[in-house]
Amino acid sequence: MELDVYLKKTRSDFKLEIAFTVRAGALKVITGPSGAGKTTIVRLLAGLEKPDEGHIRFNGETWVDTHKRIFMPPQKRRIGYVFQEYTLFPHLTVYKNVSFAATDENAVVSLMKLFGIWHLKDQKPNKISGGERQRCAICQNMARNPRLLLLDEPFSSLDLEIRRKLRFELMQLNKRISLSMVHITHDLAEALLLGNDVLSIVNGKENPDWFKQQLKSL
Amino acid sequence: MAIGEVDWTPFCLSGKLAIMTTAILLILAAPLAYFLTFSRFRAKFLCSAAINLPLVLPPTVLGFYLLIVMKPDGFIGSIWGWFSNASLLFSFSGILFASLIYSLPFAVTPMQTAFAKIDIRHIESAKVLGLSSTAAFFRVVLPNSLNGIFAAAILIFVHTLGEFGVILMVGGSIPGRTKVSSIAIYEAVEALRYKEAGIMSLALLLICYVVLITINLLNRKNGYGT
Repeated sequence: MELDVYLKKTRSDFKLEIAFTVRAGALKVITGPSGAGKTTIVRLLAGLEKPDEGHIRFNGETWVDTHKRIFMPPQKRRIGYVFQEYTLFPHLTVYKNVSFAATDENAVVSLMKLFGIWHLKDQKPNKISGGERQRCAICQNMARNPRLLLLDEPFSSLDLEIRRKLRFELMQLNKRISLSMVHITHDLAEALLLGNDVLSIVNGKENPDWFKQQLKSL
Repeated sequence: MAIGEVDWTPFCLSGKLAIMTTAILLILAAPLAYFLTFSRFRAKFLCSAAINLPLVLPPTVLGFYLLIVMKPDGFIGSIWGWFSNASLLFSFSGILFASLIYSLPFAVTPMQTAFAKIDIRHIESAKVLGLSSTAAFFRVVLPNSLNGIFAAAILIFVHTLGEFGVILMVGGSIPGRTKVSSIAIYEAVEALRYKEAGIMSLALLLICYVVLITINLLNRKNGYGT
């Protein structure tokens, strides 16, 4: 077991209470309807929000423990976080975006070639397509050599063909480097295809029946 | 009277004051604007109101309070005296200090507006990528706020060039030391030297006009950082 999570957080519209684990190298998919609390979970994992109660432990290291008043800031967690929409830095070229927090310059070139964006290295983010921007965002996070990759509906604003391609690339990446990932999606096909472990949540609580019902209604 | 016969020393002094005020305020106001934009501190609206006071206070009121704190036994004046063994009042350093206070909102407000336009996710992304808040400020916030910072610089510069009441109260009119262009114009009018006042006023008017055109061009410019 690599990631052990128990989180409680009260929001104005719902109360989040969730517990799950992610095995080393596994790709955990968290799915559920809009407003279920998926993004809140990822933000809590990233350290961008604090839970009211709970813990996050990663490989024996405590990131959060509300009882012991432990809170590790996002900078120290060494994770990757690909946001729902493009968060590339607009003043930097694609290359400089990818190498923004890179630990190894050679890895930047390899990653960009692997994801097919090397030819865009001198372009600014506003001059490339949505799919290329998300590829760049994945490379940017991977170049940091993260211990855990968080993906918050990274393909939701892309067209179907690009989405399929990127899903495939993500699966390949997960197999190749055996990196633990938490992938948020409300796309059932994506959840089925990617996840070797699917967690469905509704109104901040785990609800396995929701996913089954949705699959039946397809 | 020809242009060459006008004493341009007050203009040089105004220029020096405006350049120094701009440089110092850009450094001081940037972290302040960052704090006011991104901090979750609940009472920050009180800080914001205090910073913006010079916008609404009559210059004489501001000048009066500056006199109180800058006099030799005043809070700032005594600290200054301890360090420099000189009076802050009626000195160039004194009018520089007064200018910093008087122009502070002109520095903070445009920067705050520019910072507020930055997508908060860029800062969050920078933090997740390992940057401290300070590093995120220098590597993400500042480069994406250049137009706002430039607008702030221009506003501070032009506002300082036109300062009158506050400077007159804390600096008086000492030639070469505290007699800036606006005071020189006022004194020329009082002494009925209308041509001299006209030439100096026209020079100030042209400078301010060019500056305002520059700001308009900046505002029209599209793309990030506007």
